[in-house]
Amino acid sequence: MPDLIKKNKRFIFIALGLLLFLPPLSAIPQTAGEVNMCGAVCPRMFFIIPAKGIWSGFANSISSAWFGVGLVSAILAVTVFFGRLWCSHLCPIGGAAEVVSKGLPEKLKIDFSFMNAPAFRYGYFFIYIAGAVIGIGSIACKLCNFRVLPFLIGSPFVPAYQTYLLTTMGIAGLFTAGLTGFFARGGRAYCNLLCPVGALDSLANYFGAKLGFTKRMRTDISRCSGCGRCVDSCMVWAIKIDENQKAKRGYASCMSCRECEKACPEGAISYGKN
Amino acid sequence: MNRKILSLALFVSAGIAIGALFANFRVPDYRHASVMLKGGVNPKPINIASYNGSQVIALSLKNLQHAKDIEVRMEGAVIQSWYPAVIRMPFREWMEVDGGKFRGVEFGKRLPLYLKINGRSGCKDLEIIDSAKGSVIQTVHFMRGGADAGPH
Repeated sequence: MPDLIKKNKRFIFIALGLLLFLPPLSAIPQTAGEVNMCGAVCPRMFFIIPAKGIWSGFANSISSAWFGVGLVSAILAVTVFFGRLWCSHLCPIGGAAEVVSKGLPEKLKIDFSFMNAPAFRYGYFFIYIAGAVIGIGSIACKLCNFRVLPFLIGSPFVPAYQTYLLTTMGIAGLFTAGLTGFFARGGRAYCNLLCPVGALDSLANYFGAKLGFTKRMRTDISRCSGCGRCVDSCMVWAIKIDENQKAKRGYASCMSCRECEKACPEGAISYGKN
Repeated sequence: MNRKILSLALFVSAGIAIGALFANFRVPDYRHASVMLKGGVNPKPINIASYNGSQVIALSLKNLQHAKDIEVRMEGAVIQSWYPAVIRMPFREWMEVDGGKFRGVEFGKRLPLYLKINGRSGCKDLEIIDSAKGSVIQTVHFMRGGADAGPH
């Protein structure tokens, strides 16, 4: 039994994240007077550059989404020192997509691993944060998984969620969540390509990895046989086999989920300090 | 090296293109708007699409006055909110919600409302009422014709 728990530790944390953050319980949002991941809990709107009155706009966004600001600050601080534990272990949004994806047949899934994820992510992120101020328009809540997935899970209990999901905007959101989550290989394409919190977290992970004392997934190159099992197990296509037939990890995408550690037959991958 | 740069340029452009596509994504049956609820202040009219089907207006209403009991009325519209919580945690006192009637709304609290309206019946007014006094706090006017349409 303890072995089973150890093996599925990450999924136990994901289940806890789903239970604590999403309807019907929404225990953590309720501490901030909310019932879902919107409003004061929204973790993704406060860093959008406002079109008018930049400083007053930022102040307004930060006071409106005060809990989300605290949450993202805590996530980034943890990431710098320990890797992306929020994204891989607790995020109810990425976690829900991953769990559903695991239950669907592999042949139905889309493989996004041909994409250069960091390049796409920061192209998209640029428009996400600066679209309004440069006159392209704001993405903000559009096609937001932090809205669509809690609403989907809460819809049997709350008629207002059904109302939203049955609009064209809601259906487009469900389609995005389906395409980049449920029907994506690994279930984490939304996290890796479109999530603005994931984009900030990836930056913190990348720069944190450069500090010698921080904990990250590490590969002992001398033990790597280049078999590629870690590449197949990675849900955010962060590992590649390089020209020397050794696994090479990209910290701009790695989520510290430890799936590669489980998959490695040589025991070359571990989580820890350099 | 050249291949790396090409891949970088290609995918950064793809990210920007998808971002621009999402930013410009608009639908006729859903509109989001915010209103600051403050007595004596007339909010700007909200433009909605000139669309024949039913529409949903997601209205974020921020209570900037001390009225705790607020009623929202709109003729022919179904008014919904996602408050209160399905399972109420014991550490928080929740407002009571019954259709468009809210009791115990704190100062500064944002009320998320969904207004389901029939697209065919002209302009609409949303009345926001202080239920304790029975007086109108604000009237929000909706105008058909989309975001680019002028008043009519």
